[in-house]
Amino acid sequence: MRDTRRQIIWYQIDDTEAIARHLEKMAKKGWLLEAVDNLGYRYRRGEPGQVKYTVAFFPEASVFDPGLTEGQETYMDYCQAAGWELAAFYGPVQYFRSVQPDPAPIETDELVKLAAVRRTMRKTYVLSYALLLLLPAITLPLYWQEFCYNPMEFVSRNISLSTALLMAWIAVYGALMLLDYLFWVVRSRRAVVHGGACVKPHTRFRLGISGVMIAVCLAVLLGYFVDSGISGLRVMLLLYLAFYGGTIFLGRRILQSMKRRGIQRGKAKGLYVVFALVMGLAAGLSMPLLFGSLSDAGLIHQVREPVETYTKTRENVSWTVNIFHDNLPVTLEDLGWSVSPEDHCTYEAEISRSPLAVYSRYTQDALSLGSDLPRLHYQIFDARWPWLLEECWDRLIAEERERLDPWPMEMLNPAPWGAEAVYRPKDGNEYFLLYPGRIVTFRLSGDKEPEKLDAIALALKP
Amino acid sequence: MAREKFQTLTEQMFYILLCLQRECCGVDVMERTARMTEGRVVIGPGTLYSLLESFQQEGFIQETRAEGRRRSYQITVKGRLRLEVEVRRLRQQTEDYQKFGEGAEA
Repeated sequence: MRDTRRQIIWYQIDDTEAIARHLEKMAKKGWLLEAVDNLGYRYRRGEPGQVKYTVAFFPEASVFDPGLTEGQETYMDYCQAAGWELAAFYGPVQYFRSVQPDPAPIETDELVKLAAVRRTMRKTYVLSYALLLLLPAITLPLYWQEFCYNPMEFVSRNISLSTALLMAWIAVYGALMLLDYLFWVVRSRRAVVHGGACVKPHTRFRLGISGVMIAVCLAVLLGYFVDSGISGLRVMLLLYLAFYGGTIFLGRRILQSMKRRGIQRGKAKGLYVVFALVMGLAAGLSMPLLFGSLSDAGLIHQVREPVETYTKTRENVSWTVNIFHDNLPVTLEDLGWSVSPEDHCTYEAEISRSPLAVYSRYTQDALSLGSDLPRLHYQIFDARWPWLLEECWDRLIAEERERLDPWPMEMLNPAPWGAEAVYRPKDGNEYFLLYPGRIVTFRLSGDKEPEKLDAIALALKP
Repeated sequence: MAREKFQTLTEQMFYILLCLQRECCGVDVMERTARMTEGRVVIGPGTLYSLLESFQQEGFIQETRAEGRRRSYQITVKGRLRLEVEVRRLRQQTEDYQKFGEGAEA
């Protein structure tokens, strides 16, 4: 039978009444709180019974202190005289228990209590959530840039889409938690100034959105794992999860070791910051290295076996290219060209799907140097919602205009192709077509033969 | 609007200053207050610690002795004046009640 057990508690530290109630329930089952750290609570087995718990704040204390400070010891003496025994502490948060039926509360002046809670929360809760908000603050602008650059690819790739959504949710979550605390301070201050007590925090609300937060993170991780489909990406994901888990565990061991060695607060804090920076740098630098090694081992990019290979030779230089025979919705053959095996045509399709859109890219290219066949390249983008399609269309045309500037984009009559809008670079070979629910772009090198263009547009129309 | 610090004293503040008219340590303050008020006013240990720190910073009390972790304090002249101001305020309130409260001759 185990004599100790660990538990993660999802209550925020200022939710003192909920924490105390939980600890009292555990004591009734014979589990007495023994220690608290960044991995949660540790209990030891004891006699089941009625034990009263309370959580109090001693803002001067820090997790980096080697032990109880002088002031904290004096504070403990007062608590002991009032019938409270220190069960555990983690930085400024102190967990007391008492076997007395009705010991005096640790805080009896609500103004003093509010000040202690606020000083503690600034150092712990507010700081943590502010740091959490840094993550989306840095990454979301990058995702936005990626979206603006190629919205069709962005919204159809599960990995970039889910990561961006996760970052957006982290931003909302962090902001909600900080706002909830801010409202608690405002309401409590108003109550205390009028002679009342600090108000209770929104326990259910916080637990609810924390639960959603965890569920979203797990869903995204699972999504990555399933969607990556490539062994190398899964290996990277698992390695990174192990790395971050290891960092949390190592951080705890470093803190414990510094406490044992009696390293003072300032130095301990400095060493811990150095540790965090080193781990952050290690994560940042190891990613390209790991990616490179896995890529060299052929584990990152989906390696497709070509149907055949073809070796080109020009001016005594030879190189080999892959030939694929993917299914294409429309081919040069469909358009009336005569394609022979000597042309060594490759038919390539690349399709990305997300719950928002499907983005397909197709190419037919004659690889033989002597072939006079044109190159056919087209893309189809199907969006689930009209607003998404419009957004992507507007950005696509704006991006093309910018790319071609000062060469103009001209608007063609969409009616013959049954489209809502058609653009192309003036006298160019690339066409941009907007249909209900679909964007099509195609490029056909060589002469512009209207009947062939009509055939492509017709074949790609939804 | 932020209230000026110690503009009025709470019961806990009042009794801490009152107890420290005689030199005593923190634990004694809790016991004396409970005795003086027959248990009506209780000073929690967290509140006591914070208020002793604040009063010391404000110059209302001073540390007189330290025997290990046991520290004794006593009220200063400034603290005594603050306490007297509070007593006058309370007395004034009582007099006002007697003059204008229920059953008083208006």
